[in-house]
Amino acid sequence: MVWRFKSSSRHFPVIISFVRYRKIQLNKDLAFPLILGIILTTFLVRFFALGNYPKSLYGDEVSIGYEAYSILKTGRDTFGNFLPFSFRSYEDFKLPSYIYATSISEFLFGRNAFAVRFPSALFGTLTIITFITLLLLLTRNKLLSFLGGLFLATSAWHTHFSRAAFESNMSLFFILAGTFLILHGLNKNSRVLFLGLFFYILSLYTYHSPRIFIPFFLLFLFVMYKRKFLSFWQKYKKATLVVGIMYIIALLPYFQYAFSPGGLIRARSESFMRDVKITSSTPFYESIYKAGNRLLENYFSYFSLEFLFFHGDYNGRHSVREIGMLYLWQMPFLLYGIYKGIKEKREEDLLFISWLLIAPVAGALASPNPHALRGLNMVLPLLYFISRGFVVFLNRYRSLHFSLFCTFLFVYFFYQYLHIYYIHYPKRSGPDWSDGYRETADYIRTHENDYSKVVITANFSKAYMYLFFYGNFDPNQVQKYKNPNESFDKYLFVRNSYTNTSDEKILYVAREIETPLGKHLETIRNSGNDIVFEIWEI
Amino acid sequence: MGDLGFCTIVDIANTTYTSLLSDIPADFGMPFFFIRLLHNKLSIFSWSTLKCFFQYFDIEQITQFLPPVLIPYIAYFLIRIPKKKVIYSLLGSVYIFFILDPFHWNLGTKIIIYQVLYFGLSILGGILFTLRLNKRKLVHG
Repeated sequence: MVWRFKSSSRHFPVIISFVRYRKIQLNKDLAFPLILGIILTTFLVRFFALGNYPKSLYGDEVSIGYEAYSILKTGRDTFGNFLPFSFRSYEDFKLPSYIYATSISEFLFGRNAFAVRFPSALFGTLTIITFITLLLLLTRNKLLSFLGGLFLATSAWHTHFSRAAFESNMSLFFILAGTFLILHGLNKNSRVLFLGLFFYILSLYTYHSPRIFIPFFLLFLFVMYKRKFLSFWQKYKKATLVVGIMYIIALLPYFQYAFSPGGLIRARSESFMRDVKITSSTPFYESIYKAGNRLLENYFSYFSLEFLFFHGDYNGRHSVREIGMLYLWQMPFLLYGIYKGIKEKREEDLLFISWLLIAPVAGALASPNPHALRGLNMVLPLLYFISRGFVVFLNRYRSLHFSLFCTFLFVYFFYQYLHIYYIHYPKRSGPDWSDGYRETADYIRTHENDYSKVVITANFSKAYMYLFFYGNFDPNQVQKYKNPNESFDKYLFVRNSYTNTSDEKILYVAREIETPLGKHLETIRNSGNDIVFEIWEI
Repeated sequence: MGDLGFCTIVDIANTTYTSLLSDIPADFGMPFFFIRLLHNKLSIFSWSTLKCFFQYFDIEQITQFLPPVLIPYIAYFLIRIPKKKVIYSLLGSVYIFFILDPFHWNLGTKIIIYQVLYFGLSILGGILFTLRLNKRKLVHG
């Protein structure tokens, strides 16, 4: 079936075939090339030099990489637990989904940076396809859907987290896919709704923020689609009960983890209450006021123009910091799109408004704020409203000049982002990505046989994990180490300067400011040419 | 940018200068055209100006000086007010005045004007919200 679809510009009539969201028909039209172009752009942006940009794996990535390797080789984590539901790691008890996905990619690509980041890039790519499909389902507007996909494919926010091992990116895909399948199931009164709920469960096992987002969002969906849910219940009562029981059983390990001491450690350590100055002598009403004030400040910070359009997240790993999480040219379209959404209150507008309002809640309950990783769920509704505003503008200003001007802005700002990401960012973000740690671990591995002992400064944070990942340590052996962060085999980790009081030759990885008695072997520098470590023979 | 976020034309000029100084060497080895395409006075000055201007509308800036609980009322007023162009132009003009800083007001004066402005908007937003709520109750019973 071929529809003649008039684009907003009279000069570019576009023939688009009817695109079903289940499969794309390969007709002689522009829909397939457009989608292919978007997927190709997504693929290139996310997979190009994935192992080298960002330059180095940071501590959590290395931990994910080695835990995944340990699962792949032995079926156990580095503490010897068989196929765990949470990974103790650095006593932060990571959720399992990303690690298990990494074990598959390490099986395919080996134990390296590319394999550790591959699942994030893959799910980032799948997110774009799913987002286009969801927009087609909700809006039936091909132009808006394709634009939404294109903006997500070139989004600085989403691209940044698709190019490193961030669980939040993977959980975003599961939330998006789950939402699509639930809405599709409600529309068609089909059992595919159960699959949507399964994806929601997967998101809970992937990252922490869905545990706040999913309940609120599901509540909104129940309220908004009350009749459709009731109709579904009428049709599939038995199946709903059976699947419901299965899903509750599937969630039991999650609840066990969430309320265990390990699970609560993470929540307590990141809670926003640590920034609220309350003592035992603070009156109750004052405590409530201070905590409430802080929570609201945290929540509204996610809508800060500085965060969204100018500076981004102040954490060097979460943004390039020279531009915002969104492109500046998108600001008027975003504001106009939200305004139109509030005014017209279409079904998709209400859905994405609620999505946008619920998404920052998880991040607001933690610290610091705004946090681009915890707020990643916001990127989809924001890009929906940008697309919405853009389409309205295109319809209003039907001119070639306007279209060309917008194209220029799009290309210019995207080029600026890529320039900053590949040229400036590696030089300025070395410490954030532990740049130099891999080179140090490689040097140790190459020369350690010449020494009876290797002493490493505690400034080399999580050094033992870098040694495991870049070295040749058998996971079966690693699982036997009791406190590898203090010492194991011939490795010793010290907080203060180390002095060799024995006759044995020691390889010493020292801080830059130290000058021990011995022979200087190597200076390790990062991409910004700053000294990371000095290596000595003492 | 600026003292406590109250940036002026002087801050914009300083930011332009320091950005050019740090960004151009960072691109060492690249073709000159590509360096200057992104790192030129026009683009950085435009960027800094817009950043300074929108800083006055920034929620984080507002919550520095007002309780965050007033934000929804301010937002409601700015969305629902009938003569939007007038209000937005007025707000924009005040902030352009802050940026140009012709009378070199001290920081305290600027903070007071800023607080009064947004506090006023929140009160108007609250009144507007209450009136519309009462109107709905009358209509729907």
